[in-house]
Amino acid sequence: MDNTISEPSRPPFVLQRAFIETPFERRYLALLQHAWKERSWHVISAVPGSGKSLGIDELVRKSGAYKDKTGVTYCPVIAIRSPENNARAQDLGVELSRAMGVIPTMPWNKLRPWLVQEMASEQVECIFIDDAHDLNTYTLSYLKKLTDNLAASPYKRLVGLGLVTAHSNSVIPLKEIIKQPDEIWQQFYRRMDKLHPFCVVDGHTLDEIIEILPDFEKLYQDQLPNLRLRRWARYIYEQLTNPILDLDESRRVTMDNLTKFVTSALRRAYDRGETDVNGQILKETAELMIQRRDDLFHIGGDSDIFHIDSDSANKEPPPEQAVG
Amino acid sequence: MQRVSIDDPAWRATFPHRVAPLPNEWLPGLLLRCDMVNGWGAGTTLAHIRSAISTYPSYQLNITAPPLRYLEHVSQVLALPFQVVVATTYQAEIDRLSDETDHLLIQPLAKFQFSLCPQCVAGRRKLTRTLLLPHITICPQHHLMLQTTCRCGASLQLFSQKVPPFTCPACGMYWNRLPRCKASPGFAAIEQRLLSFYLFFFSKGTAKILTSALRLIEEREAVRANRNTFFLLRDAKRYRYVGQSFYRDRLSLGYVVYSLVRLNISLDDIMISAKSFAGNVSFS
Repeated sequence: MDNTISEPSRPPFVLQRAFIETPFERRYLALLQHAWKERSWHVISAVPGSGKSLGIDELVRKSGAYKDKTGVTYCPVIAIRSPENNARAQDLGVELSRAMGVIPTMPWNKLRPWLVQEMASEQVECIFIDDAHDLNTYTLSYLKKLTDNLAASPYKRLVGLGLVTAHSNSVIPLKEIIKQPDEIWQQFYRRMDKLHPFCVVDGHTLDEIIEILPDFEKLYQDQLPNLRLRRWARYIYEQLTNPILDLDESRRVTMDNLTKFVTSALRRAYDRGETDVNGQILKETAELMIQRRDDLFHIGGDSDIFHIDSDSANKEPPPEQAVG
Repeated sequence: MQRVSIDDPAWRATFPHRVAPLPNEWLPGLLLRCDMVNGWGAGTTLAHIRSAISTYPSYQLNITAPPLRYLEHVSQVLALPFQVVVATTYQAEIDRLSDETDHLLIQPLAKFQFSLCPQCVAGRRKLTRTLLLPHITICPQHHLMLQTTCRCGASLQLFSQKVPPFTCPACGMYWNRLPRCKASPGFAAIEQRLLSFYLFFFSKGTAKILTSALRLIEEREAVRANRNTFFLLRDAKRYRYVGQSFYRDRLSLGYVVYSLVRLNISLDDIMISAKSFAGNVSFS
């Protein structure tokens, strides 16, 4: 079947940025929601590229936060990215205050009590810290003091805490600090969820990839009207669980890898005037993302530097899968 | 904008708590209420905006005629339409009264003395725009004498970051506890005349009407042989102001209104003069 489009002037391929509620996001958001609703404390971990930050953004976006012109501000969920490079308590305080909007410059001895008062005023119920693996003993102990102050009179406000970290090799960041025998860390650990203080959210299985691919089909239907990705699910899964991408050999696929693979293949198909992907295009994409990932890419005088002309075109394409 | 949601880019560009002007509220009152809802010391909002827009943030801001850049920044950090912020000043009214080349002042900053009505502050913590008008010493709404000093004897100051908003920087007393003194009827009648001129100029005033008023003042002063207010430079076709309350070659509306009352000129006189006056005269 000839899938080519004859019009010569096809507009450039457009990447779609819509949030897809994947099985990973459902698992992850359920945990974030639990921390929020139960005001519980967790270290939540997933491999890099899973979609942790996207999930936090989505939760915050749907949290119902608003600033009314009557002076009332409601912000039940505060989410920030952890400050880096041996940050001090003050750096974390500044990040937290920035999440609320524009703050006049204040000395730390004023900002510190103001932040407690402000969080109570905005009815904060949960704090999420992304990239929490960058937290250290100073910033963690500040978080404990901040939440202790909110829990004490006059505010009496219990606040949930989600420390979201990237992990690899099954090592959960922050666990070593929090499990120290010192009094402060014992107190910190006591505040954590009794059943699931340290959680790892896994990536996608093959079945879940099969579930996600139709969402990509819908997103790119306008540009590739005959797109049927489901039939390639097994091939895509096998490629993305290659040890080069799946460093922990978990046999799970991250959303970042899946998105890059799919969109890269779709772009190639589109640029060639196709209306669907084919085995050849997927093969080239896999080669580029996996086998040739670390190859040096020489950029000379050619202005069209990201035009890829792989010599893998001669190799056999993968067989079509009967999936979905 | 009634509400700013967290996925709106304005979330990060606005203060944690927003306020919107009350009817006829004056800009400093709005800024103080902004300090109050955000839990900041009096003048923190003012200082922040001044440092954000000025190369020399330590320079005193002219609160009687704030620059448009300042008002734009206020509208940004409170996510309010620009015109709503402009309405907390007399900028639009003054622009209408001014001609193309020269700009009018309500009053020079150097002459401005802050006063307030304790009753207005007690209710909605409101400072009205009329507090900016020179020679107005009675609250038009509550008919109470405007207060300029605290019970402790200290002059009232709009912005002092050491204390909460709407309090005396010397003793910390809230402004709503200042004395409430009723104005005498005679005194109130004079102020009513002053106010009616201000209202007239702000609601119906144009550069032409203002020029007619100046012309009347000049004529009456010529009769009294007391030309210490204005005189018309006929060659230049511009009014020159001559007097003590002169500020950088700019005319003060406060002084015009005061002269109209002092010389017993009525609103009808001005309107009749404006109709008959077809000259091409501007003022400065």
